[in-house]
Amino acid sequence: MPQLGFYYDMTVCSSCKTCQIACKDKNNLDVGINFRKVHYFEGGKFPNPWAYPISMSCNHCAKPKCVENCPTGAMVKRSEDGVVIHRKERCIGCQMCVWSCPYGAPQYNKKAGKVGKCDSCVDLRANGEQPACVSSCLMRALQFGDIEEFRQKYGGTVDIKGLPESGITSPNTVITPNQYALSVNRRLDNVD
Amino acid sequence: MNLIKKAKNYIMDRTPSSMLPGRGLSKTSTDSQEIDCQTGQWVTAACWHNCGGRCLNKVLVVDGVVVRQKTDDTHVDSPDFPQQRGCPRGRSQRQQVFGVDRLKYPMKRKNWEPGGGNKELRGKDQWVRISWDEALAIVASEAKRIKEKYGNSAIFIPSGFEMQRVLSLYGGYAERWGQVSWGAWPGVYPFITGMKTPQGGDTEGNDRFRLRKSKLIILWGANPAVSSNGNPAYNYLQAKKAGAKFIVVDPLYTDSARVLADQWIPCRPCTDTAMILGMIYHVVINNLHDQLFLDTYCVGFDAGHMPAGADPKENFKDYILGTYDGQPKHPEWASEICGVDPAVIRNFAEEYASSKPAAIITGGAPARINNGEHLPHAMLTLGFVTGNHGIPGSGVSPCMHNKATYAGPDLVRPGFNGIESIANPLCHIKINNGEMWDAVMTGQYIAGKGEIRDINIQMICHGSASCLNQRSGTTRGIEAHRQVEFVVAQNYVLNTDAQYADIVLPVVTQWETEGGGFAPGSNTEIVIFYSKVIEPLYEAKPDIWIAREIGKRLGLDSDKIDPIPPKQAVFNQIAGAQVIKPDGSGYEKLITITEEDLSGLGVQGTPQTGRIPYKEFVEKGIYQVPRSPGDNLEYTTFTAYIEDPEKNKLQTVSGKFQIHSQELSNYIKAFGWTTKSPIPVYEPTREGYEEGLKDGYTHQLVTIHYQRRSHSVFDNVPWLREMFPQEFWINADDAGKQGIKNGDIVKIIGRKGAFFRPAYVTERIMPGVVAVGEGAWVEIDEKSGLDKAGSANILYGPVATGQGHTGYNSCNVKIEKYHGELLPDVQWPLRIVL
Amino acid sequence: MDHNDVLHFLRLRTFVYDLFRNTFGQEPSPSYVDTISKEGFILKFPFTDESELIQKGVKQIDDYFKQHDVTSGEVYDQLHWDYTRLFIGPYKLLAPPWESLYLSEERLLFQESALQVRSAYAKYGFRPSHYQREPDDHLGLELDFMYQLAHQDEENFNDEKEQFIEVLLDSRSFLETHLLNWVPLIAKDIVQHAHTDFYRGMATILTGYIKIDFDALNELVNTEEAINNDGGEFP
Repeated sequence: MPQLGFYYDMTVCSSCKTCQIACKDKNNLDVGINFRKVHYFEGGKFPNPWAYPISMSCNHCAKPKCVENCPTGAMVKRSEDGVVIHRKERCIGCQMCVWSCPYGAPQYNKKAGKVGKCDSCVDLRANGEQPACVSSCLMRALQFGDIEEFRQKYGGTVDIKGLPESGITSPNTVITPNQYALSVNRRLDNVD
Repeated sequence: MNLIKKAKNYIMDRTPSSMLPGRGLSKTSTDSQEIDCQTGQWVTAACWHNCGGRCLNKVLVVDGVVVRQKTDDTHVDSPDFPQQRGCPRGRSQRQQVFGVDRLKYPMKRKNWEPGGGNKELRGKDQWVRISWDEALAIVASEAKRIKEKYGNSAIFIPSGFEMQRVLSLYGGYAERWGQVSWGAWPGVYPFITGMKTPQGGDTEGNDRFRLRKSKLIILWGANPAVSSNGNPAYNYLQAKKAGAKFIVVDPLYTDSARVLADQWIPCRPCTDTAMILGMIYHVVINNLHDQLFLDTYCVGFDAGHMPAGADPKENFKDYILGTYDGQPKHPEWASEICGVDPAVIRNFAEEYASSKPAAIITGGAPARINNGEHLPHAMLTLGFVTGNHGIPGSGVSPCMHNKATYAGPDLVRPGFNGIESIANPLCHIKINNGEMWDAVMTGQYIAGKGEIRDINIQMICHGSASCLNQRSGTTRGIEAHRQVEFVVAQNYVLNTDAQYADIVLPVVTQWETEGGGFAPGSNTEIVIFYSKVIEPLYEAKPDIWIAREIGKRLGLDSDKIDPIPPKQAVFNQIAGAQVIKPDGSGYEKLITITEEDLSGLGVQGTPQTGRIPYKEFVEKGIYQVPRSPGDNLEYTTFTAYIEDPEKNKLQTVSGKFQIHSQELSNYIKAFGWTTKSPIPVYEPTREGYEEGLKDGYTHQLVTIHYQRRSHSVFDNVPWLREMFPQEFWINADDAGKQGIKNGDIVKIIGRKGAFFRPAYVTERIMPGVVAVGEGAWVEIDEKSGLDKAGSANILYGPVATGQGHTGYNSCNVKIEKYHGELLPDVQWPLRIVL
Repeated sequence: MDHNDVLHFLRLRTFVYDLFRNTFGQEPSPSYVDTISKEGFILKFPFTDESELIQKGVKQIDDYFKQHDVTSGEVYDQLHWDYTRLFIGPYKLLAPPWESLYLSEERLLFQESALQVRSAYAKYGFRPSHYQREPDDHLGLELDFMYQLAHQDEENFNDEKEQFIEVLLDSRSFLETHLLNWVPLIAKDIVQHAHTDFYRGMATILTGYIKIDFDALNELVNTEEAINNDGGEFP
């Protein structure tokens, strides 16, 4: 069965954070807990500054460390679509997943004593809808679907400056990057 | 523990009281049933804000509880027929409407008495809950007392719609006036182009399909990605994909610039006119201008084409060349003022002159400057000089807010609700935004050139617009609020207006409105109809009910104040709703109404045929005009004039574009504040670049629209506070010179007040320029006496210039490091009063 | 377990929750003040030996009435005023008595917990008197609900065993899911902000009692289960 994941076009993202709020609303998250977050990076020197956002939730990795290190089996990678979900009833709040994930996807909820995470809105998808972040995006920068198809169609990368090296967990996310966002090894203008 | 056994040791007496009726639980007559928390109903919920979007917002309601939201999914999304998706503010409305800081009961300020009581405590007093009867009685009796003692002109109603109706039947009230959003455009556009539009050209330019024909789009002080949420930025993206080059002129490297721009040109606030003149100079001396266009369609460019009666020496070309004033307006001259490199100005000028069609689309920001009439005049003229008007994809216009990428007439619109306005007997008493708080303190205002009039304001009624927070001169405004005898505010949350009032009346939001209604003005292609979502919370009432009840107590005919029941008024709008015919030749009825619909609603009306059945319309919550590229509904301004200037003369005095307009000059002079040359002449702005250089106010402040809020609305919502911290933008080099690091707390001092904020040290802003989001609710820190929220209007004003518009972007400030604590806004306690 | 012991316990619970709903659900009435201030009334509150909190609260209230002249109207005024300023107004509510406020960081009204609570009431055919205009998770309403269930259990114990167990389980669940989570939080605010030791004492007693009640209900549930499984009596 095809691995599903997110496609994100950073070049058209206006960093409005609608995706972050739509996710909070859908999951009833308090202040301080964000299953999807929009990060912002900038640099350069006036009058030539550069900047780029990264909207990221869970990358539903091929080698998810959260699943590997979860002692109770609360974190599970589904076989039918490769999405990594978190089963609340098994969670004991040990936060191993929080420490294991290089992308900060699992979020610990102190009040509930349990972790929570993006599950790609499996309930909405079962109803034929898109994840809340995708259907909310004002610039249509997000998509969710067959990750191989995205790779074929967009090329893209996940080795973005500011993100961990993709070989650690093999994230199933495709990003169309701004040229300043390419990590040092892959910057197009560094070709000698 | 064996507690059951231990219970034996205790014998209690019974409490004889029982729960009063209206408290506690009661048995229902319906069969007890499980509430199915899994299902509920999706209802279109109003997103009613003044943000430029007003998009489709739906909520899932389960037994009167809203559990979550969603946005437009009424059709498949595509660039040609896009969904109307809500932004972060709209998506957090659940927090806004159900925030525990909703005003629940009418309240009285603890230290108030008729006459004002201890007026100094306004803004920091304690609150007492009172009944509606008592609250309404107080408002009525104070209105009566103040009318009898001082006359009706003592009653000042700066905003809202309902109290005005009451006072208009009770002898009248003093009005407020003045342009805020569109800066100097409204007073200039009609004189130059002959077009009368709602806000000085905002509806003009190109619709989104015509923009795809532009070769060059210049976003001049326009940031649609932040300031026009909804589809505009996405529509611009389609133009970019179709091949348009984008240039963004803005002191900030905004997210619009990042996503869309091929080139970013940072220009100092208040000096755009200088750059424009520098560009025109370069174009003219290199013969890149369109002489034929100028000769055919304009007057005032050169001595041979002046309007009748004008002094030939006052021609624009000689001004540009410096023939009479000895100062050619070349790019070097411009660069000194605007901070843009002369080479950049030259390239920009050449690019614009050689790109046809090219569209200049501006936000209000460059024109929201003191005595700023020269800006719209110069910008329009730049288009004349290069012949970039009237061709599809070209033009110059302040097409912003809900019109951005949607120029043209409304293609679908609601009908008239049937409620006639009531004339104010004192409508000649109008006080400008730039004078109102001074008028309260000094007792005088200007009613036109040379005419100073007396006024004695003793009562202020606040309605829906947040005047104390959102008009410049908040520092003076607070003084004024502590001067008058009585202040009453109607609101759903304790915003600034309400905080400084004596009596606060809790009102319902549009989620609690009986019968629902039409969203107040979205883009031209849609109408949104929202339904009632929940019952009014606690004792909140509709604004019109308050007006009715006060009217009653003043002995007025309440049916005149509130003449049409809400369901009927809304129905009138539905019945009268019109949509443009597909061939663009006129309008037809939108909604089909049957006898069954009428009797079901219990309203007066007649059946009619339209495009969409009533029930379907209400359930869907939206009607969007189907559109495609090349349909008959595309729009570009002035195409008819350009095609045949004789047959389609403009409504100007000359029948042509007026680069020289004596009428405009006379018009501005008559206001009595400043003057304006008949041609676009650069004038240093009051509190602009030059003034700051003189007296040590080293930085120019721009007050940007901010994603946390829609102006001042939403400021209190926790999710939004978490995401948007109300940072203070400062250039990295400037910050370095003062030892300021990112996140440091800085004190910003204007000429009239000061605030402190966390610094956002960045390369994304020009040196010498700083920025903060407008709309934060004033929060005076007791210890320092300073505002800690970063409410821009604390710093400056009130100032009246030109046509009486507000110069929000004319503000000189100094910056210091602040040695004090400031918690992140998201950690501040909510204003929970009752 | 002795049948009469259980019945006695059940009756006690009914009295206790009746007292609580009258205390927190509305402003004190003159007859309420009369009763509660009678000498020895509060000293009869159950489980003072088993709960330090209950003991502390009872003493506080007892001392309060000893130190204030009950025959003058002053005590009534004081108590009425203290309730009003804590739970109704004027001024900023010092202990806003709604569960969702304490348990949701978002500080929203009318959210899912209101629905949950409403659902619990509806199962028994109850509805708050200000349905849909004010939130269902008011402290007084929740305590009224505990009273209603306690009253039903008292009546059902002899004849309607199945019903009795179901209500028992629902009572325990309501304590666990709702009251036990937020009463300690609002009690803290009441203790901090009240002007009278009376309301401080009642908040303390309430905190202690719901804990004890939960333990006692557990005992009863386990016993009933055992009886159902074994058919015999347990010591």
